[in-house]
Amino acid sequence: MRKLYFLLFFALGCKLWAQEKDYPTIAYDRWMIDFGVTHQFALNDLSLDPVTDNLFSYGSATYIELFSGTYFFNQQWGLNLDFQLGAINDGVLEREERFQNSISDTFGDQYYITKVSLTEFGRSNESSVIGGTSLGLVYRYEKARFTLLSSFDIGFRAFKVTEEAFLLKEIGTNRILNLSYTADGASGFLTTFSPRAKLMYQVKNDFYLKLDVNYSLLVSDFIVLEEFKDTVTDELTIRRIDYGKALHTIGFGIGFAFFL
Amino acid sequence: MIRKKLFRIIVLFLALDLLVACCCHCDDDAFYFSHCEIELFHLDHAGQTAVLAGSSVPKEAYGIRTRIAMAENECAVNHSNSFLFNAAYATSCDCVLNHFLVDDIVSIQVFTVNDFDAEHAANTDVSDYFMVLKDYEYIDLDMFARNGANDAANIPLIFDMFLLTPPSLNETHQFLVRVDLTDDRVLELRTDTILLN
Repeated sequence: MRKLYFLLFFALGCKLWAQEKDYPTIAYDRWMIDFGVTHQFALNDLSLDPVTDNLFSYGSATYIELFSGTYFFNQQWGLNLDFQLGAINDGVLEREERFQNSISDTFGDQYYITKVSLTEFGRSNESSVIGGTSLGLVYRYEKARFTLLSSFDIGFRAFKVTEEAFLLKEIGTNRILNLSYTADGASGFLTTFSPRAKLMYQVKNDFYLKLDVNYSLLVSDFIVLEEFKDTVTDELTIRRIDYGKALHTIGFGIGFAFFL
Repeated sequence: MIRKKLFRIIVLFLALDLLVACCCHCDDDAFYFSHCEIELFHLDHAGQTAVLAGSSVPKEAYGIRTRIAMAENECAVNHSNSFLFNAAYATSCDCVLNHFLVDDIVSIQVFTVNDFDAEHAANTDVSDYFMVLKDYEYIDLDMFARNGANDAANIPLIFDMFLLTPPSLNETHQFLVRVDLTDDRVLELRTDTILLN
C-alpha cells in the first residue's frame, strides 16, 4: 500500500512539474516600446586646438530619443535597442563663423584667404549629423505600479568632422598655398558605453510614464590633419591634432512607454 | 471680314516664327583655327588677384599675361531662323563646338633680355622661373604647353605666367616670349620695359 501511495505521489508530482513547464503560471509582457527626450550634459570637453576645435560640435546637447524597443525573454531580462537623434545647442553657422575668424586671425596678416570647396581637391564635404544607436541588456524589477529598468548599452553615436580648404595668396608676392583641414581615422562615429536606469509609473493598463538617467562613456578616435601645400614647390607641411580621448556625459530624460 | 482674316494670318505667322526662333540650329561645319599673333601685358600680382601693371611692379609679384589671337576660316555663329525673334528665346542650345586647331603649341619659352641673376645672363632662357596659374595651381610652362594650351574651346588663348624667382641683377627688365608651333612657325614678342623693384 505504501508503495502504491509513493507511486501516486510520484506520478502527480511529475504531472504538476510537466504542467509548470508547459504553462507558466506567471504572465509577463514581452515587448516594450518607449519614447522620450533626454538632456545630456558633457562632463568634459574635446577642446585641443583653437582652430580645429571648430570643425565639429561637441558639448552640451539635447538628444531626442526617437524610439527604443525592448524584448524580454523572461520576466527579468531583456534586450534593448535604442535609436537617438540629437540637436546640438552649438549652432553650425556660429561654429563655421568662429572657424573662419580663427583662420583670418591666424593667417590674415600674411595672406589673402579664399575659401574653396573641398570637392575641388577631390574630397567630399560632409555636413554634421548627430544621431546614434545602441544595444543593451536590460533587467526589470517591478513593485506595485512602479517598474525599474536598468540596462547596460553598447553602441555608437554619429560624429562628423567638417572638412574645409582654403587658398592662401601671400600678400605682395606670387606665392600661393593650399590649406586644408581633413579628418583621418574613425571620424564617422564615437563608440558609446552607457549604463542607464528607467523608473516607470503605470498610469493605465500598459501605458507608463518614465524618468530616466544615464551615463555615457564615449570614445573618440580621430585625427584632424592641417595640410599646407606650396603650389610651386609641392612642399607639404602637415600638422596632426590627435582627438583620441575618453568623454563622459550624463543625461536626464522623461517620456512614456507601452508594454505590448 | 477681310481685316479679321488678315489679323488671323498675321497672328499665325508670328506664332510660327516664334516657334522657329525657339528651335536651335547648330552648325554642322567644322571650323579650323590657327595661332596668329601674340600680345603681352605686364601683371602685378601683389594683391589678391593679378591686375594689369603700369611701369613698375614688385619683383616678387611680377607676371606676364599672354594673349594669342587666332584666325579662323569662317566665323562660327548660330544662325537664327527667325525673321523677327531672336534665338535667345530658345530654351537651350547644346551645340557641339566643331572647332579644331590647325597648329598646336609645342613649347612656350621666356627669355630675359637683360642680365637676370648670376646664372642667367642677358638673352638666356628663364622659363623655369615662370609658371602658369591654372585652377589655383601653378604648373610649369612645358606642362601647360602639353596639356592646357591646345584647347580649341579657348579662343583666343589667354594665360598668365608668374615670375616665381625674382631677379637679383638690374631693376629694369624686359622679357621675350617665344611660342613654337607644330607647323614650324614661331610666334615671339618682347614685353615693354618694366621696373622690377
